[in-house]
Amino acid sequence: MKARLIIAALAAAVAGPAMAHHSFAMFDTTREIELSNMTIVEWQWTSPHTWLFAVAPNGDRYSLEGGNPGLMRRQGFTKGSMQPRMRVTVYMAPLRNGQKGGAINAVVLPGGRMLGERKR
Amino acid sequence: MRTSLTAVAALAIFAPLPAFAQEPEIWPPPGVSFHGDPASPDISGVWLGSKTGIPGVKSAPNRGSADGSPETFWAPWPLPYRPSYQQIVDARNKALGEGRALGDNGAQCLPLGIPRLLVAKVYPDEIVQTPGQVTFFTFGAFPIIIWTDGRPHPGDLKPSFTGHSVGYWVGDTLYVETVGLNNRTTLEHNLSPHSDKLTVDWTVRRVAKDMLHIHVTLYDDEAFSEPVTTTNIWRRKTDPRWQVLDDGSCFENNRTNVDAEGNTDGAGNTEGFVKF
Repeated sequence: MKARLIIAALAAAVAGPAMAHHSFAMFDTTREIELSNMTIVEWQWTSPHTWLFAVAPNGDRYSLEGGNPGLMRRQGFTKGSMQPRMRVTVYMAPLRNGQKGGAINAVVLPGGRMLGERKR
Repeated sequence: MRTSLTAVAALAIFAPLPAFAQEPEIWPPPGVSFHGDPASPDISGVWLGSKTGIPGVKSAPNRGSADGSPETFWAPWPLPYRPSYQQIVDARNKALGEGRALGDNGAQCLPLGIPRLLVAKVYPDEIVQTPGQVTFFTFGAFPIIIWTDGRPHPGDLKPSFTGHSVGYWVGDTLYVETVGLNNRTTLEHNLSPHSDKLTVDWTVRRVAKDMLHIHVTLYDDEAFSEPVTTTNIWRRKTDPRWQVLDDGSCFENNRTNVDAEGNTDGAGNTEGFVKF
């Protein structure tokens, strides 16, 4: 059990270079959740992290953390990639505590273009 | 350019040559190449290193090295911690397994520092060579200045995140010694600790025109029972998408809640994660 715990801890830790600024431990990077028909509230193109705030069709509000703009830019994201009221699908590594949020793996824009990379 | 500017300045004031006009007309000075030292290779430019991974743990496809290059590892593994430091490691690993982080200085908006910035690479760095020094502009830290003009380490260093580095060239290899590091930086993303007795001996070897091997040895008798080494591979990036160094301004929009010890372990917040 102890060995399994340590392996899980290491997996969580090393999975997070996209963050760099802080540990990735709060996210379960062994899972990927699809959030479809998300309505964007705000896309923050900022350091040390980008942030996407979006609302699900049922009204649930999600905080989604991305990497630094420099890293995101090389994955196809830009400051103008997403606008308020835009409908997108988000693939995220969810928060371990079950709250509504996670780390952005990929975003599918209305035209079908995918930014980032799905984990699965 | 220097000569013409000097001449213009002298004519402009119709006076005997001022002091600055007596600067050497030859640049760089005799015996010093443009790259800082005779016969030193040109390593100026933008480079991207590889990610330091954990042996036996596979990263997710989009969580590995930024350009997909293979990971590198510390040796020996597991890291040969002395018992008091192994306790720190165990506590940090236990917290990580529970979705928390202990001792995460980056989350406090503190510089990532050495040794982590040499071996756990996500963002490109720029190396600039000038006579007497080689400067690494890295993400999330103060520049690393390697003095190659023969000066010694100062005797009264305040422990810092980047320390003080001196070096010299032998052929294609730059030998560097970094001292004066505090104990708040970590070895990599896994937050492996070290003490403030750490000395980092590292070499920068140009093994090919567009490839550097950054070989790092950690000497830390307080934390480790033997030296720890790794070789990180840096690749020159000439594609325009890599040419802009990234803005790491941590305080611009830092939404990570963290305590004074760098712990994102709750304390009433959502485990370091801010909701909107």
